[in-house]
Amino acid sequence: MAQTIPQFKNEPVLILLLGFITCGLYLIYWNIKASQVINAVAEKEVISQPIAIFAGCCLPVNLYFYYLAGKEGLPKIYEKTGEIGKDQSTLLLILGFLFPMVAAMIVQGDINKLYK
Amino acid sequence: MISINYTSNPKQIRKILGIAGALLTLAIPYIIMVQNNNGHIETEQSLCPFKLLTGFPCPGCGITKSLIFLYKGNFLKSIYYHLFGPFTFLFCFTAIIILSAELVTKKEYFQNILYSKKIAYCLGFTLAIYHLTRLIYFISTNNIDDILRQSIWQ
Repeated sequence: MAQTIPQFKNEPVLILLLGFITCGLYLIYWNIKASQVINAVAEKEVISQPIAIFAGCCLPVNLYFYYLAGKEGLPKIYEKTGEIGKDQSTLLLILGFLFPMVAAMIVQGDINKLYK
Repeated sequence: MISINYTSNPKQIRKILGIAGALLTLAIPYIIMVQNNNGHIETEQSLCPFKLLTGFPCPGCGITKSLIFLYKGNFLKSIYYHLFGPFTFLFCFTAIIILSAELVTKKEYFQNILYSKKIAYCLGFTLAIYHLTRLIYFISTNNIDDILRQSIWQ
């Protein structure tokens, strides 16, 4: 059965700002909401809630979060928005390691396309 | 010779990645501890990208140092650097055992605890409160020069 996609439209630059202002706390909330959207689009649990929460405080879990988002989550979003499917896991892994907020901005940009 | 192909099933790949991640989390602090002969671990520059940029700690800052002091047997210093350090050790250790057992026996164990939303939200909330408290303490005990010194800007 198709799940309702939760409303989670944000300006990507806002994630960068809020991430800095809250010293990373906002990214825990963002991880939870983004995983809910990805799971609803994929119609299965791609990223579980414990992984989403721990991704905000533990680097290996954070990398796993972006690997799952790039490998299984974003291709489903591209499928839904009619874009050419591509594997973003490598890019998100590297950005997730060096600049987690930039990786979050890229994922948010793709999520936003769902609400156009 | 009989070999098992673990790479065909996405669920098994995830378990192997989980074991690798947990092993790395536990091994990196150990390697740092063994390599650091000069005893300057407490004053070493953090490699956290957020701390390097801003000087402020992120929610996970201090876990590596916390694990190093846990390995050294200094529990108080371990929880001083991060309250969740000993918990991280226990979580990774348990995850390695459970995921390895699941790969071998092809059964799943403790799914209701490991994937419990309730437990995850409780831990997330506790972490958020802890981080907020730590930030207030950090700001009250460090001046702007101290904060900048912990970043790449000074």
